[in-house]
Amino acid sequence: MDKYDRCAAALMELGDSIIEEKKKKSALIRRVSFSVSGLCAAALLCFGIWKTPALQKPPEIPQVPEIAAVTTAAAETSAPAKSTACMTTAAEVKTTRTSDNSASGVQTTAAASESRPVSTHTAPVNTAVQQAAQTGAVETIVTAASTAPVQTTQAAEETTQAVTTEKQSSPADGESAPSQQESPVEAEEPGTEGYNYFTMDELGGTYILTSSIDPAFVDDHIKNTVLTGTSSQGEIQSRAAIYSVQGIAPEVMTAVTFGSQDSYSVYCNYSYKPATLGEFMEAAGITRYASLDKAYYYDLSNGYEERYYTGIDTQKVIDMLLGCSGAECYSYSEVTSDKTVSDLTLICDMSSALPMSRAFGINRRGYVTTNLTSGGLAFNIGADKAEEIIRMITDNYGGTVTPSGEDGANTPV
Amino acid sequence: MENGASSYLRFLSGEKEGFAELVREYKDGLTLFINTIIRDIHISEEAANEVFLKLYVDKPKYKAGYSFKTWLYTIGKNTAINYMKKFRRTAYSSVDDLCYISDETDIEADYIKSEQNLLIHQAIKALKTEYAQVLYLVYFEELSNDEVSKVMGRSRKQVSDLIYCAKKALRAELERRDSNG
Repeated sequence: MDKYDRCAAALMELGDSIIEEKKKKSALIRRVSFSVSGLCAAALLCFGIWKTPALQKPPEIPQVPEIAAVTTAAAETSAPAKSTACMTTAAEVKTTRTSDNSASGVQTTAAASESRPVSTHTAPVNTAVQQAAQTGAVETIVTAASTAPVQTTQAAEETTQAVTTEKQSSPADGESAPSQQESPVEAEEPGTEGYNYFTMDELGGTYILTSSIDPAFVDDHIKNTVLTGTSSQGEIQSRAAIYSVQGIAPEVMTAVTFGSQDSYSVYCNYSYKPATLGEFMEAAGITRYASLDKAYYYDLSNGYEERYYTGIDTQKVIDMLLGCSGAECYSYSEVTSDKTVSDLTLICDMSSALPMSRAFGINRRGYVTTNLTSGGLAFNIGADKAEEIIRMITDNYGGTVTPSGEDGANTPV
Repeated sequence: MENGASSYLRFLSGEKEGFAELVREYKDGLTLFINTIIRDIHISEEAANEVFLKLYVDKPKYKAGYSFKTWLYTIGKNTAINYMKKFRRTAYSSVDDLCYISDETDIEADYIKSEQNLLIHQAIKALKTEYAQVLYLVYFEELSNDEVSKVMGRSRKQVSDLIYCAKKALRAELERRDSNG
C-alpha cells in the first residue's frame, strides 16, 4: 500500500466516523423532534378540549321551575290522591302538602309554601328541593297565596285569591312527570327579568330565586354586577345590584334588584352549608325573623296519624335549637334518607321579613333538617335532644288530627 | 469523461476505490495549489485533506460545466481561504491522525520532476500570492485561462493581465536569482 492509499484509507476512516456521528445526531434530533411534536400536539389537544364550550361542565344548578300564576282557588284540588296534610296561615300563605301514607309510614317534612316560587314535594320521603330535583318522576305542585292578605280559614277555597302554581319535573329520566294540575294558568313576570338563579363566586354559591322582599329589609349594598343567568328563554345577562338582607348573612341569601327596578328579589344560596346549627340559626336570621309556632307530628304508634299543633312558643323552640348550637351540619347527600325523614315538622315562617315559609324537621334518630336555603341541610343534634324537642311540643300543646286522603283535607281540622 | 470525474462518479455510486483514485491523482497538485495561498506546506496538506473529506462526507454534486480538476481546485481555494480566515481547525480539520505525506517525502521535489521546473517553482513561491496561483495553475496544472478564471473567481481579462504581470515578475525573480548565482 503506497502513501496515497494509506492517506485515502485514513481519510475514509475519518469520513466514516464523521458520517456515523452525523447519523447519530440526526437520529437523536429526529427522536427529540418527534417527542416534542407529540407533546405539543397533546398539549394543544388538551387545551382545545379544555376551552371547548360544548365540553365545559355546566354548574350544578338545581331544577328551577318556571313560574306561572293561577287565578283560581282550586289549585289544591289537584293534589295527589294520597295527599294527607294541609295548612293555612294567617299571613297569606297556603300550603299543599302531600305525603305517602303507605304501610311503611314514611312522612314528609317540608310543609312550606309562599307567595313566591317555592317548592313542596310529593316524594314519599323528605321533600327538600334537592331531593325533589333528584327524584325522577316527581311532579311538584305548589300553591302559594298572592300578596293580598287572606284570613285564616278552614275552607281551602277561601284561602287564595291568586295562587302561584309551580311545576317541577326532573329531566333525569328523560320523561316528563304526569300533569296533576288542571287549573287555568296565565303567565306572570317574576319581576326579576327571568333570573331563576345566578352564581356569585365571591360568596361561593349558586343563588336561587326564592321570594320578593320589602325594601325596608334590604341592607348594605354588596356590589353592582352583570349577572348571567338562565331563564326559560335561555341564558340572559342584565345589570343588577346585590344587597344583603338585614340580619341575614349574604352567604345565606341576598337581595337583588335588576336595572332600574325598585323591587327586590331574594335569592337563597343553594350551596350554603354552615359548620354548625348555631351558625346556621344566626346566619339565616332564624333567631330574628322565624316564627316556629306551628308543627305537624306524624304519629305511627297507632297506624298513621298526623297531628297539627299551633300556638307553640317560638322562643322556647329556638332556645332548644340553640341548645344544640354545636350540632354538626351535613348536606342531604351526606346522610342517609332515614335521617332526613321527619317525625315532627316545624313550620318556619319568615314572614316578618320575607314572604317565605320553610320548615324544620325533627328526626328521632337525632337530626334536625331544614330546607330554608333550598339546599337540604341536616344537623346532628343527637337522639335525646330530638326526642326532647318532639316531647316538648306533643306533650305541651294540643294537637288536632288532620284527616287524610280527602279533597280539601289540607287544612287543619 | 476525464479520469477525475469518472473516479468521483464511481465513488458516488458506492465504490470506495474511486475515492482512493482521486486522492492518488489530485492530492499533491491540490496541496501545492493550496500552498500558493496558505504558504505553509503542512497546513496546505491539511486543507487538501479537508477538501477530500468534504468530498467523502458531503458528497457534493459535480457539474460537468468545467473539468473535475477546476471544480476540485475551486473547492480547494475556498477551503484555503476559510483556513486563512479562521486560522483554526474545524471539525473537518481534526485530522491529526491522518498521515502527512509531506512529512515523509518532498512533495515539491516529487511533483516537479525537472530541475528547470523546480527552479521555476521555487521562484514562483517568492512571488505574490496571486501571481504564484495563476502561474501554478497555468504552467504546472496546465489549466486553461477559463478554468483559471473559474478557480480564482476572476474574469478572463483579469486572468490574462494577471498572467502577464506574473510572467514579468517571474522573469525578474529568475534574473535576480541568476545574478546572485
